[in-house]
Amino acid sequence: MSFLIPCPTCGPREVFEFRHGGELHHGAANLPGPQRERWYHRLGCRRWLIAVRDVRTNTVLETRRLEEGAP
Amino acid sequence: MTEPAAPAASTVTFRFEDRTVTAAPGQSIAAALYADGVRIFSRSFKYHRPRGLLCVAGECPNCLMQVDGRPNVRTCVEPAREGQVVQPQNVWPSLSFDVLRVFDYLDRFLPVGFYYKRFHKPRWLWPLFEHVVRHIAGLGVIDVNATPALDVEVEHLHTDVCVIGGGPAGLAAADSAAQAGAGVLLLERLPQLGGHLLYRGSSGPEETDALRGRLGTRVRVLLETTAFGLYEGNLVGAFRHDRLLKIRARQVIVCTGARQRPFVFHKNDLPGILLGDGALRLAHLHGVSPGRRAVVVADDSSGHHLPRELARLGIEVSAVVDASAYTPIEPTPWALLTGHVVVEAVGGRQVKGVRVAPLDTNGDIRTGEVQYIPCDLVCMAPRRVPANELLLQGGMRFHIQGGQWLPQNDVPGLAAAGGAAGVLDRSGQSLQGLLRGGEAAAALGYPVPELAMYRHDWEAWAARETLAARIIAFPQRDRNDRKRFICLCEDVTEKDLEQAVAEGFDNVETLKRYSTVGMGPCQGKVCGLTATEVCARLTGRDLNATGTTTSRPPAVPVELGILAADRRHQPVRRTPLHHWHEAAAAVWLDAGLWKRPESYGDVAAEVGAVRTAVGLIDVSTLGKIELIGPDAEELLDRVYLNRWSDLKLGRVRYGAMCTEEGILFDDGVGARLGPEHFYLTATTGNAEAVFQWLELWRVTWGLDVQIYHRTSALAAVNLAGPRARDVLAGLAALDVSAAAFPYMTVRAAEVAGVACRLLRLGFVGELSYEIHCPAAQAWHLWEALCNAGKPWGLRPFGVEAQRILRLEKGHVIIGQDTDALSTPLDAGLGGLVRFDKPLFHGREPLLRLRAFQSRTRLVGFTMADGGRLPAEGCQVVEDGAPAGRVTSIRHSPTFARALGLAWVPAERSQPGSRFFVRHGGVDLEAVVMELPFYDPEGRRLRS
Repeated sequence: MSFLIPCPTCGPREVFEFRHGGELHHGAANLPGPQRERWYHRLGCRRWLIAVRDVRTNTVLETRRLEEGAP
Repeated sequence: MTEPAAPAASTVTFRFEDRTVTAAPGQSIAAALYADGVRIFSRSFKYHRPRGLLCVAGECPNCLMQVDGRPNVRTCVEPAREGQVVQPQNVWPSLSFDVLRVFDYLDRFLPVGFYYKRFHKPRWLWPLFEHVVRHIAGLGVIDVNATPALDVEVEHLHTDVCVIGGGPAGLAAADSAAQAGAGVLLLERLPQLGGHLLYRGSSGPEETDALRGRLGTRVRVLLETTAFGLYEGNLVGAFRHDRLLKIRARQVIVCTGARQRPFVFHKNDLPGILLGDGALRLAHLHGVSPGRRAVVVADDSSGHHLPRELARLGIEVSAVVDASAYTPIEPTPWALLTGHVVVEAVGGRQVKGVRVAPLDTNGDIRTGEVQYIPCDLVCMAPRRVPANELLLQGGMRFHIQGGQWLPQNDVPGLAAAGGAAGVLDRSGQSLQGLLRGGEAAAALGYPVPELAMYRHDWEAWAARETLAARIIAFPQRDRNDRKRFICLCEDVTEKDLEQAVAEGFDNVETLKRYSTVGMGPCQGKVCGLTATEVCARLTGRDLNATGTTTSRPPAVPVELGILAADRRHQPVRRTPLHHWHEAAAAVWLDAGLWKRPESYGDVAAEVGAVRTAVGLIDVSTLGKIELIGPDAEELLDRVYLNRWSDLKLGRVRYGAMCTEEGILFDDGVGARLGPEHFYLTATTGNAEAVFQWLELWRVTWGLDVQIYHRTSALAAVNLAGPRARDVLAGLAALDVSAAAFPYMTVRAAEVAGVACRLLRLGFVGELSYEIHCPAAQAWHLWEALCNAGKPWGLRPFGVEAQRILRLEKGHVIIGQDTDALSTPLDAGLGGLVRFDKPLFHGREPLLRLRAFQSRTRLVGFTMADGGRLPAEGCQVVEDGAPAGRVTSIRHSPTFARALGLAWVPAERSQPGSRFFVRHGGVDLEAVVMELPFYDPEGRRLRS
């Protein structure tokens, strides 16, 4: 696993700077494809964010601050 | 910007076996040995056959040696250095005379998969077999006592375009990408740019200089840099000397060239049989003549340049043996045997000649027309195949098409140019390089006006260029030819593959796993495609249907020490009192990143001081979190199991929290400092996680509360013991009487002049004050407490004494006494859970679980007889099967017996029940005891 996450506060950063916080909605369908997830930028701004990640390719399609709500 | 090459050094000398060898400047170890007359460089893995130089490119296993204690060094590319000690591997007693060569004559008894077939019965003999096999088959020896010599750093690089390989294609790609304005990083594994121009053709040096000149300062060139992996997100893993490089590139262009591989004939592994490129590299890169009298073996026109180049080096060419029907236009001074193949090499320790024969129209050998050609050098010059490991790792797929393996798909951000993309012609390589570089820059948004021109030039070239279908130049094996080697690393022959396919392993992946073809140090660079060809022929499928095995990093051998570079710089956290503990000869304990005093040398005395007088412990590592805002109590009520909204001002409460699944996550205490102001502690290991957890739910629920993480800003010490009040009374500007400052309350006061927050708690089961203060004043506070405590017998105590004290008190440590399956209901914390709250994490699963009788419970226990103590983590066994585990156990100085906590079956959780703990194969009897062991009424901590 070695992809970049564009942090809404800090810009694109290596995934190891972040902590995965699970799917945005508990018990979501868990299907291959884009998935809405919570991530926490532990080695940066220390804020929670939402990332839409395609779990097949680890491409992060969109990010926003958690405050802004689900896309 | 080209980094300057190392200044030319004078000759160096090194030790090899029992003599001293001299090397010219820039020569590799193997080249210097070759010049010194060495022809046998290693003994093969299984049969201990003599092996000599083959690729001179660091790709095959033939030159691996032990250099200054480092095993498996590829000596053909490792520069010779003054004073090196070089030793052969896997031989006894020496390279030139290896007793274990006997296995070469026993090959009938060592068929493919022999270790699966021979050694599985009787099972008890396997450890013996393993020991013997390990001794006979193998590579270098790791000196387990050696101190790591590598001083490795990791470097993170970012670039628009990363070009891997500095040959004609790579130079062109770097040039056009940089021309367009893209940032370009060019990696080259050798000390100089040029790729095959450095050793093939006559115009190499001038051409290379011209190309390098064009790059100017626009391209950052990293020489002696080997890319070993292409990972997700275009991350290139590379190393340069003792440095690990992690290169994040927006576009990667792989220009790693093409390579030759051995032909398949009887005894094709004899020393003196080299790849044609290997012979040229030996001559041009290292100044060593590969031999005197050569036979060149080819399978198409590409091999016919080689005899001319050998002749220029003064090597006599006896014959060119070409399986194809190609005939050069110009007459040649050497015998030209078109439509011929080599059927056998002749020689024992070194090649003395080859037997060649013509092919008939079916491609079979005409056995009646075998002729013998003496020589001391055989150069194998087949059509080159792409060196495409990195491309395969990046998701590119190759199919054979028009006689060559060519890329079949587009991978965003990844491109191939030159030999790696199957382009073998020098001008085609440059044209494709220019196009791929231009395309990479254009994809990044740089304007590339030349792009149409690049594309036109490349397409015009590609339309002209056609390759003849490839001839697979190894006819059917004669049944006596047992030494037709496919895989040199693992000594796998064509016969082995035939047998494996006959046994049903007819898919390339299963064939690889069963026969071990391609599983050695070269990772299939020498044998991978040949194995595919053999498999295709044996199964009657075509090459594309047969396919190739998966390529995974590392594509080149990497020392583990280099990969460990990332781990070198781990931060360490020290409390503000660290140096005081150090001066007091603390024994250190790693708690996550923290350094904590485990003890000050005498644990029993430390426990005794707390129980009978007074002790002082540094608890600065505790997580410290402050919440301020109107919704602070709402957030806490929703996150914790217990209720906080009814906590009165100045009161302290114990609390625990669960995950959304109802699993215990953390515990600690909380104090209400104001109507909208709370102060919480979290366990040392979970401080950050609890902060993140609170922050997540604050944002998710949109609650109006600020959360401050104060772990580093504040220090904390715990003054505990029956004399704690006496010590504090003299220092604190506060009435410390039990009436004015009772158990589970919080006060703000100056202690020794330091503004502190004091919490009356009881983790260790005695009267105690947890004193929090700004980190900068902690040292002063600590010393003041120590001095004031002297008359009362105060002792500092460490984590080990605290563990014993809390165990005597039966306090659970979450994460030690609980795991990812532990709920508060089973862990004896059910009383905390306030199901009457409408919403809190874990409510739904815990409500459901409450209805079931749980299977295991956490209980206190002691050992039935005072003897042996089981270790933490030992299993509780019931009828010989695991039924629980011991989570904590210590010898208690207070009770003079073992005390522990364990998960046991629910039916054995009543005090007085007996159960068994398995330790070292022995079942020890234990007895459940009522918790807490110490001061069950809690009189002492409330005093």
